[in-house]
Amino acid sequence: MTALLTVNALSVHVDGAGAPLVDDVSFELGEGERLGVIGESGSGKSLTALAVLGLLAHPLRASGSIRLAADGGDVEVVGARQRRLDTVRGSTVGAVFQEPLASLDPLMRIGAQLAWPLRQHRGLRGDALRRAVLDALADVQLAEPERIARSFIHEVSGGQRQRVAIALALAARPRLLIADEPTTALDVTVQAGVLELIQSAVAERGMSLVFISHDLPVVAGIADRVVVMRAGRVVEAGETRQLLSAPREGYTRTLVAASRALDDLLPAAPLDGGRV
Amino acid sequence: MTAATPGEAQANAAPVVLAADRVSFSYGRGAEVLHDVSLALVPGESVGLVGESGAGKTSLLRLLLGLGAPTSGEIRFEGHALDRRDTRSMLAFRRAVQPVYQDPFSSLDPRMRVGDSVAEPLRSLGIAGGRTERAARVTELLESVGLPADAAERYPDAFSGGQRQRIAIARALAPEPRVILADEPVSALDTSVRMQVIELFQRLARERGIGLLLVSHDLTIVAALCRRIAVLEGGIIVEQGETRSVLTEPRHPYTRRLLDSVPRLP
Amino acid sequence: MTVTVPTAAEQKPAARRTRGRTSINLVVGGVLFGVIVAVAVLSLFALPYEPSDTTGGRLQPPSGEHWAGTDRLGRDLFTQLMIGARLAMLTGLGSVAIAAVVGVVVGLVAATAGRWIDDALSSLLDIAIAFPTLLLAMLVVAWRGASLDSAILAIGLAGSAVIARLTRVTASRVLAQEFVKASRTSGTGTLRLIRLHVLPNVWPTLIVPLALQFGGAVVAEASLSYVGLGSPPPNASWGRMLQEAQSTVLVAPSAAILPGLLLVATIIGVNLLADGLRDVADPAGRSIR
Repeated sequence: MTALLTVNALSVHVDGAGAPLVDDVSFELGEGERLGVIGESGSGKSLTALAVLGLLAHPLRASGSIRLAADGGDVEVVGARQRRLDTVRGSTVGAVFQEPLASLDPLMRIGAQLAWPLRQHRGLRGDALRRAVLDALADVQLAEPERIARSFIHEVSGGQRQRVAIALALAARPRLLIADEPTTALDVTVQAGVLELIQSAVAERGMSLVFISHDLPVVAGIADRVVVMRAGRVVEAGETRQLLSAPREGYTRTLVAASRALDDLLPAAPLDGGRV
Repeated sequence: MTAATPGEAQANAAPVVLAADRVSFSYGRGAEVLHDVSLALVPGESVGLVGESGAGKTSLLRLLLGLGAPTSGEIRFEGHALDRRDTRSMLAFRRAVQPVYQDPFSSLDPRMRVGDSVAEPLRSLGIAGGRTERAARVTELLESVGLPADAAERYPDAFSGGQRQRIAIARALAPEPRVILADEPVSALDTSVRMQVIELFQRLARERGIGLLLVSHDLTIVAALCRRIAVLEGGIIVEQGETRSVLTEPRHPYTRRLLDSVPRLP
Repeated sequence: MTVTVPTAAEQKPAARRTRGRTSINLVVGGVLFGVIVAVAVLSLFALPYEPSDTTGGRLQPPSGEHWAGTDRLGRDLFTQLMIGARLAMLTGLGSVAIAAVVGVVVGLVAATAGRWIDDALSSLLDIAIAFPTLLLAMLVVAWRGASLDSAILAIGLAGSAVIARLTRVTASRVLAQEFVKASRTSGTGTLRLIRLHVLPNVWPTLIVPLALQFGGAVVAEASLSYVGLGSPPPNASWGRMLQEAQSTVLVAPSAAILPGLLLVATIIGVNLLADGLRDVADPAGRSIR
């Protein structure tokens, strides 16, 4: 497996101030691989995602190395110029965040927002562009794509918003999707649908995925490998099953035990009895 | 599938403290957000109210807290219909029914010392009179939720989410309530802290015989804490009963869908 | 089950933002403003000359006898500057007090009253904010006559609109917090709720605009005096000194420069002080966003 993303000794500091917020984080992501990053608030998991996207804003500063295998050769994200990053974001990396409202323009119709990356990266115009917009919306299993395309973002529900955000992230056909707590703000039943969508979209396109969450069961359901972060550091990393069945570090053990304890409260196979 | 009648809950030996009796509610002339909802709380028993956004959980909670009046039906407190204009009975009601909110960062006044926040119900409800008496009570309350006594002197920003939620619980306990209405009390907390706060609730309910209404979108939390469960969808209680039996043999399709949606560990 | 003790996971790292600028702002502002306040207070007890004493010779440059020189009537300029400081402080304090009291009350009423009152008050405030301070001042002067009181009242009222709107917005934000709900359900009445939770949380947002208004009020009073609508003679306001010195600025520049410098110093001082005070009032950034 060739590495699509190689993070090496990544640290994130507040400019000119003491302890690092992300401290010596390294991991690798192969083509088509799905990596979960799990941690509680303040673990540095979201900062790591922002660093990979080259989106750290002043006074935050990354050091170390983040290499992305883009089409025209490897790109070093740390210290790269905005221009260079612009060519990578969208076409190589797409991102979905917790709050879709924050990543979508409230004053632009959804269709118009989607059209932009399709034009930019796929060179579509006119009818072809219009069709591509509707296809993109249909691809994220939004019923009535025409209506959604005409709507503003505040006119659709939370789950639909996140689907639109996913469509936007996928529009330029990136090879890597970074999803930072994409379902945390959603209702459970809506979350189930969005998780399924992310899973199938990634699988169909053969994309790689970095899925960031505080919720171990959610991560466990979607990732092949898991990186556990705490207080800016990687505590443990490994195959999901391995990590769940035999966590090595104390923190991971506590985390797995707490999640297991909550999970055990629900009947083991809730629907086997119900469905039949 | 049918909403349980209050009679079903009253079959318990303990007297009902707080109940919604066939309550419907709508904002202004808008559509009903609650329809014919009945629910009863007895001391020492925990009831989970489960539903997703827009199901009417928040509206029902407002009514049960006496912050609004139902469009039809009654909120009953100790057997009598709650009259929000009757100041004296409202005072008794406020002492007996206390809330705990979801967001531990918004539920404490950032400019008030923790001790003053915990003591606020005591002062507002005219309970513990003297300063020293109040301070002693605050210390005792903070200790009962597992916080050191010197926490009283500090401001909320010195505490983590889990600790703040403990403070909020201490405040709710201050007037020795008979019922606590908790609105998503652990959903803003990290997983490792969540379990500890759940255990705190369990212990309080058991030791102090407090009735708990736990409003949550999370079936797991309800399964952890509540003997009974009511499932709210679109303003209607679609299923209500013993948590164990509802979760193992859900009768309503919505309950089933909820259960099916919970992310599980492999 | 045993008492659950918070684990390390619950401990919050005591990360605090350091504010290196705080002390500098506070110190520089405090010194500038403090000197002017001291001069204003001193003018109540001791003045080098009687304000109406014209024995000093006309348009004298600064000297050992007349530290700031004399004006064209032979009055001591340093004496006038001291009295001017007193008037400036009075204007600032008085109008800020009026703006604060009127503004906070109106803002709180708008925030806590029903939608109708809120809408009505908000529209009124929009009009009031659009209304030029000087025009309002002229109206008040026309009604009550030119005096320091009129100027203070006019400037204070003009400033109250902005404070009212700010109070309304901030108070609404505070009222939407869960601790307010919790407070209500602990049986706290509205007035007590305002005193206990709303005012302490609104106050920090008001400090800086009120301080800015203090500076603005001093300038407004100077402008009013300059056009003859402020305190009448022989009360020497800095604005009137400027106006009187205008015709002789080439002969005796100190008479124009000194009041101007004091005006600037007052405004810079009070603004720096406000910045510093806000940081002190909100050391850990406890503001509700």
